[in-house]
Amino acid sequence: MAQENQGLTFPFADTTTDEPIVDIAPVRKILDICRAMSLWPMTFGLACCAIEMMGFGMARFDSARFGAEVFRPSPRQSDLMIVAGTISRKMAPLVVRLYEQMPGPKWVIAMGNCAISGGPFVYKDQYGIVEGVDTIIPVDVYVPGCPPRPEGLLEGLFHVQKKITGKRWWPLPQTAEAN
Amino acid sequence: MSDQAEKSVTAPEKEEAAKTEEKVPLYTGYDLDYFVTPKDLIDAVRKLDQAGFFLEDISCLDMKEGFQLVYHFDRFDQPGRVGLRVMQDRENHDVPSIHHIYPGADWHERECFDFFGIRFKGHPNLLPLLLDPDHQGPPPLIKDESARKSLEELYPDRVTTPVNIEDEQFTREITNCSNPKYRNPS
Amino acid sequence: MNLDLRLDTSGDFYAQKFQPTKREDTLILNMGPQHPSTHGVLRIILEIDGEYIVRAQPVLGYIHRMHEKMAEVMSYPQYLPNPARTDYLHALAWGWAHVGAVERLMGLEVPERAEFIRVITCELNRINSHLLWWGAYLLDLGAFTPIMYAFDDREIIMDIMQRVTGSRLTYCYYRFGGVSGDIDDRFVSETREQCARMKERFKMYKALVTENFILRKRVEEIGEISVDTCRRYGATGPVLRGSGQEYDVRRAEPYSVYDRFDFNIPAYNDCDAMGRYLVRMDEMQESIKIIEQALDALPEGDFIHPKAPKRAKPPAGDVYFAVEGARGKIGMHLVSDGGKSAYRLKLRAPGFSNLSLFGEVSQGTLISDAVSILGSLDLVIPEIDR
Repeated sequence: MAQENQGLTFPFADTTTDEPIVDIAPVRKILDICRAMSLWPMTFGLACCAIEMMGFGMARFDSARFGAEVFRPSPRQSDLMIVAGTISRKMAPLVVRLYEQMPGPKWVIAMGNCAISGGPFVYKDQYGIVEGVDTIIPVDVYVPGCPPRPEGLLEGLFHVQKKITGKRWWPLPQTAEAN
Repeated sequence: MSDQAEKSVTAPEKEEAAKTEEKVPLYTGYDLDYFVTPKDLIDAVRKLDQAGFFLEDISCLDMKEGFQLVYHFDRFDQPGRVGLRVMQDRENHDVPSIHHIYPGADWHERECFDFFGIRFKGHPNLLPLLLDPDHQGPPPLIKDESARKSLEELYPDRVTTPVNIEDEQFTREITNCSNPKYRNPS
Repeated sequence: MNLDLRLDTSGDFYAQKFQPTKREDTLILNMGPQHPSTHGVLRIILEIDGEYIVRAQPVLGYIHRMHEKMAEVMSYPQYLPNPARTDYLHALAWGWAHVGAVERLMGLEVPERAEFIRVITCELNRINSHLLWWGAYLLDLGAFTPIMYAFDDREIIMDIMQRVTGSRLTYCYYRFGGVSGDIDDRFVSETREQCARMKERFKMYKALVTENFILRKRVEEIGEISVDTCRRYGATGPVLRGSGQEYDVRRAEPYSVYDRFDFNIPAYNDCDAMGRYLVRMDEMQESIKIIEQALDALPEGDFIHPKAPKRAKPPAGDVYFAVEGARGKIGMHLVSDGGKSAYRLKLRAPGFSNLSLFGEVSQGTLISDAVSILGSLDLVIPEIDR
């Protein structure tokens, strides 16, 4: 059947970025904090998770509190890519292109099971999807769920901020602290 | 008219009637269901078009005898579903495209081409619609030789001889076709 | 050397196959698949003359997820969560179509209480879907505030729903012969409260948005679709009702207990984007009417048939089952060979037919109006691509 298709792989994205003009440790540290506190995600909804991503930006969960509310429709204006949904084989080259169009430094959140591993759409003889976005672009933070709750995506955002600055900026949720 | 009579029956009476007649075949969602030959398809679809039907979708099945295309039609004013079934050989496809009668059929036919590789005669733009153009291997919904079932196994006790669409009765039946459950808003 | 830039061969497969008109002063423009106003990953190849569209061709399949193939691979219960992922905005209607098709083929009975629970949850879900459409459509047209209000209401409904269904968005709540869990008094009282609240909100929405001069300029007399165009393309749902045809599956071939409720089918003769807008706004109010009637008449009893099979195994044969989703007529053509998984399951996605008329309707309109038309069709791309 479609097993011949399993061999079809996509080239990994070009991850090179320009060297910073000023590369002094204290300056970099300050810049990193600025970057972490004003991440600009790309409006890039693929499937179901995109709706929860919208909820993440709306009044109740309000990602603006953590500096990530400026959703940009253009990859050239954003530095955080939230891959929210299943990546089909048809879409894969375009995801790579969008990633390459983003100016560095840039970060990627794989949101939902589909983006992490193909999720519910992986079975023998599957012919249409890419099993995990990390096979085509580098991923920084994985947020599991089908779809993840907006709180989950917020937690993912905190981890991106931690990755950029080396420090967690926000208190842990109560239940997590108790453990 | 039998439809009128059925409408006037109230709900509890209907339930009672269902209880007493256990053998009544279940409603399958089809009010009329025909097998037609590929040659007659265009004429049959034209008749449905004149009777005010719209095309719901085109479904396709892979079976021992080849492919079966199922065209579903329904109507806005006087709802009632008509199914047209066309059998196709595995190799030689001679089913005509109906996009010039129902432009909406264009995409449905491309979808059948994607999933089953059926080449509709006279289709202007038979490109992959949902599949990746680089898709390798056979069309994805084609079954393995061993998994295919025959008409007999899938539709037990059903007449599978093509209907004569020139017949007056065919025209009369589709014109009077209606869903027994339909309630007039007025 | 080829001087006609329109026949540039550097584009991808679809760009190369695109057949432009014979005119020489036009430009080919690619819109999507990553474009905020296409609500997902729809791509449209446009041939434009200045700001006017000469020819538009949607390209689909960027989120094709093989739902029809999966139905043949997985057993019936395993497939239960799938329909919710086809159309995540009106997940329960899709779940209902699948469950209903299997029930129809098996001749399964559903207890009355389960039918009422289905109606209530499905209508709540419909309101949620329309609210999201409303917010996103206005976002397309340049108004940011309404989506904040819409999500405010959506979150409350999602809170109510997640207590009984267990999820916020992709509900898998219906089972063959009933639903997976019963509703309680808290659900009933919270739903009543929300219905009362929504009625007040609709007045505010009307004053704030519907009567807004800027909105009316963007939607009135734009994207006119006649009933006959709908018929030729098979468009259903609010698109058809916005053209003045009162066709609703809940009335035309009533399933479940819909024939017991008193509700109107809103239809507007304007045929434009405003007509479709008003149909959806009215439909939310009709849904509230249905929910309140269903809550009043909610019978006691089982929420799932005591003899409902754990492993559905319908007999050989085929059925067609249609339900009214937020976007139109959802149909499932199920063919069974008597095995534990479907021989063939064909999904009729309403958005698929609704979008197919876009090529014809968008001819001669401005690009900005085409965005308005696209939004008024209420597209959910994973449903179209399946």
